[in-house]
Amino acid sequence: MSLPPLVEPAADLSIDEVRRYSRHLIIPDVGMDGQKRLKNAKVLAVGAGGLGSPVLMYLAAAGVGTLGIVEFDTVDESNLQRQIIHGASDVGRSKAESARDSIKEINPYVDVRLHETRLDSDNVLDIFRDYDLIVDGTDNFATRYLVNDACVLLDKPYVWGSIYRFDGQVSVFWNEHGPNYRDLYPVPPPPGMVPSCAEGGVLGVLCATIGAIQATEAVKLITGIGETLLGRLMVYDALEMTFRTIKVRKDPEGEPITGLIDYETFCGVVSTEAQEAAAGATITVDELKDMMDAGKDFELIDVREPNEYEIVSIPGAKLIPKDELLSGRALSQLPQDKPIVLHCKTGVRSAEVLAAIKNAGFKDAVHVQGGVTAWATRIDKALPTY
Amino acid sequence: MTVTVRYFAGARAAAGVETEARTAATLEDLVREIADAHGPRLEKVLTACSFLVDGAQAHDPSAALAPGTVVDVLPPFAGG
Repeated sequence: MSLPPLVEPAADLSIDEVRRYSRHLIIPDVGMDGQKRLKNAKVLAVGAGGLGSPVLMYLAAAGVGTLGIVEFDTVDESNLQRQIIHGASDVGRSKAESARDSIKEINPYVDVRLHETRLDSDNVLDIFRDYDLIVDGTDNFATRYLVNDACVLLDKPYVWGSIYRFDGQVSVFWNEHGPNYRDLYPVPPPPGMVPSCAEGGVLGVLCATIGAIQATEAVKLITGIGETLLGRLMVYDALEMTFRTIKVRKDPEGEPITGLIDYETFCGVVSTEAQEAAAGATITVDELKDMMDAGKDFELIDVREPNEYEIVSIPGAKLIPKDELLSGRALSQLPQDKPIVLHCKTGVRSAEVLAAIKNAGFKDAVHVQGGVTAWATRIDKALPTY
Repeated sequence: MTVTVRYFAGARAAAGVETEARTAATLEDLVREIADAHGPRLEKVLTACSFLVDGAQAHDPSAALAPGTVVDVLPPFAGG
C-alpha cells in the first residue's frame, strides 16, 4: 500500500551530509527531499539483537537522524553468530551501549537515544510517544503484542519481523491505514508450543534478510515512496529460497484495542523449570479422551481455583488448586499408585505444578496442553469457555 | 467446496506440500481433513496456527467456505 511520507523534511543538509548521502540523493525518488525526511525521522528499534542489528546499522548508514534503542540485555558470546552490531570485545557490555558505539562509527550524525529498560505496560507509551516509527526485533510473543497494542493506541506504524531457524516473516502494521498484528495473529500460541530461537536455533544470516526488509520498509514509510508491506505479509523460506507474499486484511470482527493488558498472562509465559518438566510430559485433550475411552486407570487433577471449576470442568477431574500443591500442603492427596494427569485452564499453571510434583517425587505425571479450554473447544463443544 | 490451502514455514514442512486443493464445507472440516491427511506432525503444528480465509481471520470455524476460497496456514514464531 502506497502512503504519504511519514516525516516532514529537515530544513537542510550540510555539505558533509550531501557528500555522505550522494548515492541516495541521485536517485530521483529519494533526492534531497527524501534525504531531509530521513534526517528528520525518529525511529525506535525494540531490541538490538538479531533483527535490530541490521536494522539499526542500515538505518544509521541511510541517515535516519534519530535512532532509539530499547534494550536491557548484555552481549553474550552466543549472540555474535548473528547480532553483527556487537563484536567480540563487546561481550559482557550493555547491548544498548555497544549498539550505540557501532552506530556512531557508521554515522556520527545520528542522534542515538538509549532506553535501557525492559519494555512493559507502564513505560511503553512514554517511550514510543516521541518516535515516528517503531521497528520490532524482540524475541517473545508477550513483547510483540505489547508493541502492537501500544502502536495502535498511539497510531504509529509498526515494522514487524520475526525469525525462526530458516523461516522469516515480515510485514508493516498500521491500524489507522490497514491491519495490525492481531489481524494476523489474534491470540498467542499455546504456551510452550512454539520454541524460541534460544531453544530451536536460528540461521544467523536470516537476520540480515529479514532485518534488511524491515529497514527498507522503514525508509519507504519515512520518505513516502513505493508500495509498503502494509496489508501484506512476506514469508521467506531460506532453504527453498522463496519469498511468498500473502494478503492480510483487517479483521472486521476483531476486538478493538482500547488499552494495554497484562501481556505475560495473555501469552501464558511459563518458567524454564515448567517448560523442562512439560517437555515429553504433555498430552493433548484428544490423548486424554483416548485414555478415558480406553478405561485407563489414572487420576485427573484440576489445579484451577474453585470458582473456575464451577464454570466448567472436565468429567472426573478432582480439584486441587495450584497453590495447595506448590506449597506441598496437598501433596498427600495425590495418588502414589497410578499415573497423574494435571490440567488447568490453558496449560500454564498445570506446567508449573507438574515441575513441582515431579520434584516431589511423582514421576508418573503429565499435563494437558491447552487445559479445559482445549477440552471445551475440541472434545465437548457444549461446554463453555471463559 | 474445493478450496486452495497454502502452507507456510513449519506448516509447509509438516505438510510436505506448499499448496494443495482440498474439498471441505467449513474451516473446521478442512482443518480436520488436512490433519488426518498429513498426520500427527501437522496436527500438532495446526494447534498453534493462524488461518487466514481469503486474507482475513475466520471467527466462525463452522461457517461455509465459498468455492475457490484460499486458506493460508501460518504458524507463529516470535524470534528476533
